[in-house]
Amino acid sequence: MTQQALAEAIGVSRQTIFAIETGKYIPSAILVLKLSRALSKPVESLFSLEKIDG
Amino acid sequence: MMPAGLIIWIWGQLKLSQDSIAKYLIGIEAENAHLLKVTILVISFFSCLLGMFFLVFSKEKEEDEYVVDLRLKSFQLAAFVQMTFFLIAFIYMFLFKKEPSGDAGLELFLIASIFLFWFSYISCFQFSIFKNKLQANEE
Repeated sequence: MTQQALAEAIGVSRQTIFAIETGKYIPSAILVLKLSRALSKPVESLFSLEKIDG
Repeated sequence: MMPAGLIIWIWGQLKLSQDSIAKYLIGIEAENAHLLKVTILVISFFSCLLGMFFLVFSKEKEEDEYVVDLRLKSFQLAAFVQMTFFLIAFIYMFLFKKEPSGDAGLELFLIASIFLFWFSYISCFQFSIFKNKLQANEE
């Protein structure tokens, strides 16, 4: 799946997908759930906590 | 609209005087010349501000939550820039500058602080959008 196709599937711009992938932007819970639905994967396999998050 | 208003406003502040109006409009009274100057300055200032608001409040092609986040961050930065300018300019004006000609400096400072907020907001927002777009297209 391309960035463009994913962006269209969840209704955001490609730049937003890029910003999420590079860690520049932390998406909202709604967007995370939409991403997990579009990719048919559980949220935990897409996002995980880092050390600085405690 | 915005650049035209800004140019006319700066030109009016620097070059326009009652004498120059009287030179071009022969027979105009001094009081009316002053009124005309103030009218030109006010119209140019507000047209510049209005033009800037069109830039500031226009929507992006895809207005998603990332863009909203960028807007919020740009607003925050613009507020900090204006606050810093406010503090520095106030300290400078009241401690170091003696104004012989009334409160012209104060008026200019207040107008500059209005402009500065929106200028820094729009430049910060457009820069971050542009930078992200550039990086995304490079990939």
